[in-house]
Amino acid sequence: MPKRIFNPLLVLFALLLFSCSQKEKITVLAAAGLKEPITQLVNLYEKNRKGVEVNLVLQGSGDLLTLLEAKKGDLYIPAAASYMGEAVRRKLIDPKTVGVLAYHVPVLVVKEDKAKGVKNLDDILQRSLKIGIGDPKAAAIGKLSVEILKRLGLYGRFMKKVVVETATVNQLLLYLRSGQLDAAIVWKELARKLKGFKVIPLGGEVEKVEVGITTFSKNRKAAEDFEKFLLKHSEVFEKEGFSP
Amino acid sequence: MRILFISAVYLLGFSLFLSLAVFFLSLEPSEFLKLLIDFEVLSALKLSVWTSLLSTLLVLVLAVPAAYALARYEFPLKRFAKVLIDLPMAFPELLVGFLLLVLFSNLLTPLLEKLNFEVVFTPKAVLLAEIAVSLPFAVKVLYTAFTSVDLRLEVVARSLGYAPLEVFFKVSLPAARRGLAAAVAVTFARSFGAFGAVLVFAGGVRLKTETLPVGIFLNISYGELEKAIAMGLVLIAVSLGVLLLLEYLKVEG
Repeated sequence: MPKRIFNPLLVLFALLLFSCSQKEKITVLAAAGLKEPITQLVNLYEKNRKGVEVNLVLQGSGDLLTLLEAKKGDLYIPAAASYMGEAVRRKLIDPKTVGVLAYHVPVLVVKEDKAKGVKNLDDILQRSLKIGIGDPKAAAIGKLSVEILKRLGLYGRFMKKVVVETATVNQLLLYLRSGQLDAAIVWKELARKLKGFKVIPLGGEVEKVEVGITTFSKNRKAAEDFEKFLLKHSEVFEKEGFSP
Repeated sequence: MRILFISAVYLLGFSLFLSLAVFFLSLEPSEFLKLLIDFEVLSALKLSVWTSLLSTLLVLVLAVPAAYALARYEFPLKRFAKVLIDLPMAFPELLVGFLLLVLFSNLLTPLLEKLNFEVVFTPKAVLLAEIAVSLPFAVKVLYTAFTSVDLRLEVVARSLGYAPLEVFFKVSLPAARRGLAAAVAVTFARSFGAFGAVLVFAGGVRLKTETLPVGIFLNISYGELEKAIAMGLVLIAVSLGVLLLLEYLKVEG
């Protein structure tokens, strides 16, 4: 009796082991804000390369850096170039493998019923609006916003109107949508999804979305193949509102 | 059996102690001392302490009468109200903060704006979020405490000439003092450790609505892990101090 239970289990176990060794696995650590294009690309890739399984971890770029420190993952796709620079500096990413996938473009969004006559950043400072900004220490959008404001000489006046600095750009979207904010600087690809807001291009600074392979990757070949695939299909990023 | 059960206590207690020790040793002592007087750490500590103390006080003012009413009186929709008060215990904190944000955005902000009274993104939002996440637990603990007070005590006190309010303050409340101490402990602990609700409702603005838990989150996302660890240690030290104090007061009482 015990034998009859045991045997199918053994077979199953053997099959499981077999299938595991057959399929190559790579783990991609990507910034949560890149969810749409990356998920599409992973699905596309898995359809084309039957033998490879891609694990996708979507978190904040900084949190992912902590995972890299723990020697986890094969590819790293942070939302901003500074994170990639930091990962290279800590010898977690091989600098020879770093390539540009797309660009984030910052835009100004203003609530439509308060946007009459607003054409640029200077205009929103003339009105009584509640403004939000990304925390320049934590969010890539915040750092870039500060650079733009400083270039235009508006930084001091802008910050006087800021009611909240958020650690993530998604938190800015939450407050825009719930009505706590009238205006903010966010990424173009996210602004597209906001309803009832006027989107005003800012020009100038953009942020690089880069991909790189970890120095400790055990599946270097598969990782390189996946990276090549990503770089070849930048149109997916473009479709989602990024700049090629 | 005794040894087995006691060893469960030791296992739980000491595995936490071990992880605390490792956490503590990951910082250089000199670095830790420097971070202890860091402006951001002190500012977060100050905000956390005063909001949690005030939150504990306000929660008790609300929860004591509510719990007593639920334990002693019959009134319409009582069971429904009780379930509604209990319900947020099952919510993740994020949802509590989100509910508060939506409530204030859609209903209260237009009203408050006329009065020039800002709540969201201010320390008032921190306080409200802490109250919201700890209130249901306080009511639950106090309700259990009041139901276990012998009703006959109150009846006798009443027959001996105490007014209802005197019965409450001189008989029921002292008889439920252990429950009251537990409620203080649980409310302070929940308020002091509140994170998700505070982050969403108060924005997590550096140095402005940055409590210790929010500060830990911010510093992890800044990559300043030493400061995050220092804040974690300060949070643990304060919680430990307060809970130990209450534990020994309870025994004395």
